[in-house]
This record gives sequence, C-alpha cells and structure tokens, in this order.
Amino acid sequence: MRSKVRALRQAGGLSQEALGKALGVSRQTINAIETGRYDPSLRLAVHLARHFGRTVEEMFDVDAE
Amino acid sequence: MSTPSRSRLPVSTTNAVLLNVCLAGGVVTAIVGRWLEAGLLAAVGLAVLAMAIYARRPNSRDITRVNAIEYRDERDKRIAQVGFSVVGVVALVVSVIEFVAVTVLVDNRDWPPAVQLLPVGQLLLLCVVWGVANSIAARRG
Repeated sequence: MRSKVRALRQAGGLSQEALGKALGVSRQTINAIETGRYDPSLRLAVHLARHFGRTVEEMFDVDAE
Repeated sequence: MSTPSRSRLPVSTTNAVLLNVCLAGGVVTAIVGRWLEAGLLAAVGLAVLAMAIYARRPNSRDITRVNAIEYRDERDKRIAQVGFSVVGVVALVVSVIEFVAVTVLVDNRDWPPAVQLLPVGQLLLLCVVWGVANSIAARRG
C-alpha cells in the first residue's frame, strides 16, 4: 500500500529510527511501511496519522497497489 | 502510541520457557548419568539465552529478533506467524513420517512400547495444540 509516511517524515526532519521510537516500532517497520512492503495494523496506521496531524485516509492510499 | 511487546524478563516469555525446558532436561539427563546429552541441553539453553540478549539490542535487525523469538512490534509478530505456520505444517508431516517409519522399521523387541508410541503421541499433541490455537485465534477475531 502506498503511503505519505516517507514524505511527511522527511519534511519533519525525522529519521526512521526516531519515528519508530516515537511510535513504539522498529526502524525496519517504518522502512517497510514507506516502501510499501508492509501494511500497518489499523492501530499503527491511526498512530502514524495522529503523529503527523493527518487522517488515515490522507496518509494511506488503499486503492493503489 | 503502540507499546513495544517486551516483557519485564530479560528475555521473552517464550524464550524463558525454552531456556527452563532445556535446563530441566539437562538436569534430568545428568541425574541418569547421560553427561553428553546434559551438556548438549545446557549448551542449547545458553545459546537460546545468548541469542535472546543479542536480539534485544536497540539496533538489532528484524530477522535477528524474529529468529531469536524476541519480537519488538507488530511486524516482527506477523513475520513470526508466517514462519511458525510453515514450521507447524512441516512438524505435522514429519510426525506422520516418523510414526510410519517407527511402525515399519522398528522391531517390537528393539524398543519398549512407550518409546514406540512417542511419534503418535507427538502427532496427536500437535493436532490438539493446532485445534486449540485455531479456536483461540478464531475467538479473538
């Protein structure tokens, strides 16, 4: 699933490690979400959206493969 | 925020169980005088402990954590679920092969009946655990 996580993270000057730490997940999980290899759980998706002050729909494009 | 899946123990609950089973097995085999097997089990237990502690480093790789059964987040758990589901299928198949091999190849006089029944016991136990695990997973949704 395509997401805006990488763009928002980089815009905020955050490393994958720092974002992972803020959300309680590993750097590899952030990387996997950014590269579309891993679809986060609803819980993590909501936490990601909240972290960037966006909605889940703004963060993730569920229609794009 | 998501909470990391870490227990208060220095290792995960699963590793604590594995470690204790290995050490208990080592004690039992030592009591009956099988020192090589006792040493082997103690070494396996220590290896489990060492791998778990190594995998808990803050910058450890995902594959290291999953192999050491030290999951940090939901993705680690999902990877482990896939790995263990394959292990489960292989364990069931190997247990059937083991049962057939013992039935066909082992002469009844060679091994006591209790030992001959171990493969079928293992197969039954795996099936029961599988059923219970499926039931719990279905109930949790």
